Amino acid sequence: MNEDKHGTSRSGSGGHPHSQGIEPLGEGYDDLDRKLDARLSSTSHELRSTPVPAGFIDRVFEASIEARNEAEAPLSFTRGLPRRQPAALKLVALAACLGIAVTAALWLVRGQPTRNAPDPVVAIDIQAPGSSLATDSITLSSEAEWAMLASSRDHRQLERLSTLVVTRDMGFGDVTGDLASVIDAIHDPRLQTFDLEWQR
Amino acid sequence: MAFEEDKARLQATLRRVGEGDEEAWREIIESYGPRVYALLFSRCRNAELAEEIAQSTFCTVVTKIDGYQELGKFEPWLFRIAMNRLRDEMRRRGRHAIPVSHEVFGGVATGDKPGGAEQEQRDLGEALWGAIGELAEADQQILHLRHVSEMSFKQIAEVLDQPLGTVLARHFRALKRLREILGDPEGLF
Repeated sequence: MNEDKHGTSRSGSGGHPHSQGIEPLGEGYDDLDRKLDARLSSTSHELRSTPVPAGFIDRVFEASIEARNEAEAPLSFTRGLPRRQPAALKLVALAACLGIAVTAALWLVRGQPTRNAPDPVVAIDIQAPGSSLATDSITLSSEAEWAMLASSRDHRQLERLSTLVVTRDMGFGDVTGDLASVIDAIHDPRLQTFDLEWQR
Repeated sequence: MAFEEDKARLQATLRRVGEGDEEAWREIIESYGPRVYALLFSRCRNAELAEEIAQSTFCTVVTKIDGYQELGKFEPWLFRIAMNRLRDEMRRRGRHAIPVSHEVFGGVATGDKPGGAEQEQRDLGEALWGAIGELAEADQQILHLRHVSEMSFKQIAEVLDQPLGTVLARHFRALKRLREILGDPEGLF
């Protein structure tokens, strides 16, 4: 092997960044390896000197310049603002759709309790039939009427009416209602509405 | 090779390319185009495919050269793109690299009948490079990059994106395997 011919000056694993012949083998190779490597180098000359097709350089140059111009072409798109408008409109439309969807969802969520709310409470009469609380139909014993009259705050004034209660000509409700108002009016000088008949 | 002697000149030329200087780009193609083509042709044995991939490689490089800073990596970068493109195309076509055939070392290069010593050299080349075709694809790539593209092991590691130690070990094993394939390599010498 003619190693001087193939660049023995090159370093083992580094060397010049550009072709300066084939880098010599380092340590670890035996003589037969080195001979084989040298033969590969000497016979590769025809491979290295493979002629390029006619016009190769021009075609590669033209194609690469065209590729570069095409690669730079997208820069011109920055002037094309109208092309961005459809995209902006789409975004606005999308946002509007989302807004409508959210509003509808909120309406449904808030409306749900109203819809499912129990109907207005219907008063249920749990009283047994015939036990009406209408005072007109209450019939108390005379003792009970008297006891109620005695517990009244105006029982002293109403004592005069006790006979009516006892004789059941008047009920407690009558005594403590309309008649009590009349008596109050008689005894209230500001009202000036005393009943002369009562005075008698 | 125009840029072999002056790394700074290559850097300046690449800078001009980045600035849009078409003549500078033409210098790059004239300097590296034949080497890229030779490597591709040695691997695929198809002139049209080699040119197509070479063209694609330079198209890729020129579109990405604006941000490139030359740190001694341009050549590995260029050849790496070329090798990757070739690999992808071979996969797409369902083919492997074709061993160097007789026509490379035969009468295609010269129309004249070769003499005794010259014919012996061609026979030797055919035998050696034919045997390389029986090696693993990665081993073949290392031997082609070393002997056809005359790359250092460090550059080969950068092209193949492998650690330097891996490339050295693969090369070592590739020679041993090649000796096994050749049977009696001493008879060749």
